[in-house]
Amino acid sequence: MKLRPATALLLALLTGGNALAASLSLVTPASTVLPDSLFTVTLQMDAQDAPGDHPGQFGGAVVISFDGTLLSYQNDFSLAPGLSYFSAPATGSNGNLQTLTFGFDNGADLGPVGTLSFRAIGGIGSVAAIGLADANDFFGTFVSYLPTYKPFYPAFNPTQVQVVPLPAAGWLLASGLAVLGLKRRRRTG
Amino acid sequence: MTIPSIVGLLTAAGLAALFCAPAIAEPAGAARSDQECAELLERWATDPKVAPRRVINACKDQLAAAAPAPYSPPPAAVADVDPCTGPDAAGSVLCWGPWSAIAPAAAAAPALPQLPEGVDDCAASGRIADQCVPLLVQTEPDPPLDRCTPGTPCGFATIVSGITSSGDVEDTSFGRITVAADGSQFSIAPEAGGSIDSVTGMSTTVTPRADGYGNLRATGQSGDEQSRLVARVVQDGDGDLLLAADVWSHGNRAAGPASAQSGYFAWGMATSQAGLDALKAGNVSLNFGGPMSLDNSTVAAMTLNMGASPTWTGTWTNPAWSFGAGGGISGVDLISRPDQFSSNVTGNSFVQGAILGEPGNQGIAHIIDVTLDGPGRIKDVGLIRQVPALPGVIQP
Repeated sequence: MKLRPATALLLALLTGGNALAASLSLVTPASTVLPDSLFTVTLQMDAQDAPGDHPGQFGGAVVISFDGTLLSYQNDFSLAPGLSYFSAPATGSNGNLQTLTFGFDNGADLGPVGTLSFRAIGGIGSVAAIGLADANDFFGTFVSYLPTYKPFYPAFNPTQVQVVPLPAAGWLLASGLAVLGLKRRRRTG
Repeated sequence: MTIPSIVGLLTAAGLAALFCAPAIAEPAGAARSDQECAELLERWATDPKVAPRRVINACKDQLAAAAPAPYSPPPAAVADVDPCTGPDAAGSVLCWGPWSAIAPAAAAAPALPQLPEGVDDCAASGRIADQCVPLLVQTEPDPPLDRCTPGTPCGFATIVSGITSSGDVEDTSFGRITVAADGSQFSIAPEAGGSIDSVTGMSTTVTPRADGYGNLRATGQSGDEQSRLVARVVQDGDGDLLLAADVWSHGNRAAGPASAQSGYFAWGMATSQAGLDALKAGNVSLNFGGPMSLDNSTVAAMTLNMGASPTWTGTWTNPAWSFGAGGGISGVDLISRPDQFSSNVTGNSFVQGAILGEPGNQGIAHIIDVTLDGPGRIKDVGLIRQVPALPGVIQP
């Protein structure tokens, strides 16, 4: 029986564990992207309610997943300043599902863990989900390090983007510029 | 017979009567009272001719036969020894006087000290019974978990059901934990029940921390079985673990998290016999301090007083409670003595620990299972490190 992260989280809650309101979230600048455009995603951590010292140090491992037919990962994950890897980024695939997994230490109470970028390769109207989960959905991996190690079970908030065509105003502006360009050509000719 | 000879006989008889009157008057076989015998012997002591030898001997025998048991003074009446019970008690500087009825002493009645049991080893020592004085020794209770052996791996763990490493105190048990030197596997022997064995060959990473510890993460999976350690560690030059503490987990994915087991631990290489000998020879006091693992708002501080008869004392301080304990050190083992707990500790409380590492880089792995007035029962495990001998300074 494979347990989904949400199930593990629920079990942790039921067993009286340290299931607090800590969270990890994927954040995109916008919910829509243009076809074939590049966009960045930031992984944010909020450990203000995690057990242990505050300010403290926190770490864990995550797996980011996406559909390889809709998004192309640019192999550019960059850890935020001050953080370190205990598990370097590694990519994997299972059919169309592609993953990026890594483990980090020295995370702050609140702030970015790192950023990565994708190119939107899906057709107009497609919705590309970007999943986020604990890299170990059985035990969990997140730990508060100070003053001693305490496991905690943050909530994971994935994200998604929709590929949309250039808006009508954009087309109008482009066509206007094209007309102006043609007129200038005739005058000079 | 001539007249002169008769006169001579009479003279001799008179002289005999004069000098030997007592003997003649009191033949040897005559009964004498003990008192008479005693007086005769007293006189004989200064005048050996006061009576014949046989009379003296008879008196000696008589008095010997009548001699009482060795003198044992009768118990003195209370009034004879207590100056406060006689007619002059009110005027005695040794007595409270009439005030005792009006103002009892402020202090509570003194409690009798909990003297340890006397151990009579006279038979074992072969000494003569009437020369033998039973020795008073501090009885050391048996530790709840197995003792540790100098120079070998040694550690303690808490055990709960589930994956969260903590649970209700009554559902928390203890065990002895052994961790492989490379961190790739562990085994826990609970107080009761079968051992908990991790999968073998867990993959490990150790990354440095700013406080001198390394950060060990070890995970492994074999079929549905899965294990992990997440621990603060201290390594030697070869990368072998010397000290490790904090989180362990083991379970079966197919059976689900509820059937898994997890907990906290404190483990290390117990101090070698040579290291112990050096500490004892140095007659030193060592201070240790740091947070506990299960509830890391509890800070432990322990002092080891090494020497010929090493002892330890310790305090555990939490925002909501505190207590103290003490005991003896046997080899590397620290075991609490019931009479050395602070007064707020009740029930069958205990502290058990072991000295880890070598002189200059040492720690103490230990467990506490105490019942306190108010907070109730508390269980925890901790690895605390040696700290400089500065009062009030505790370093995690």
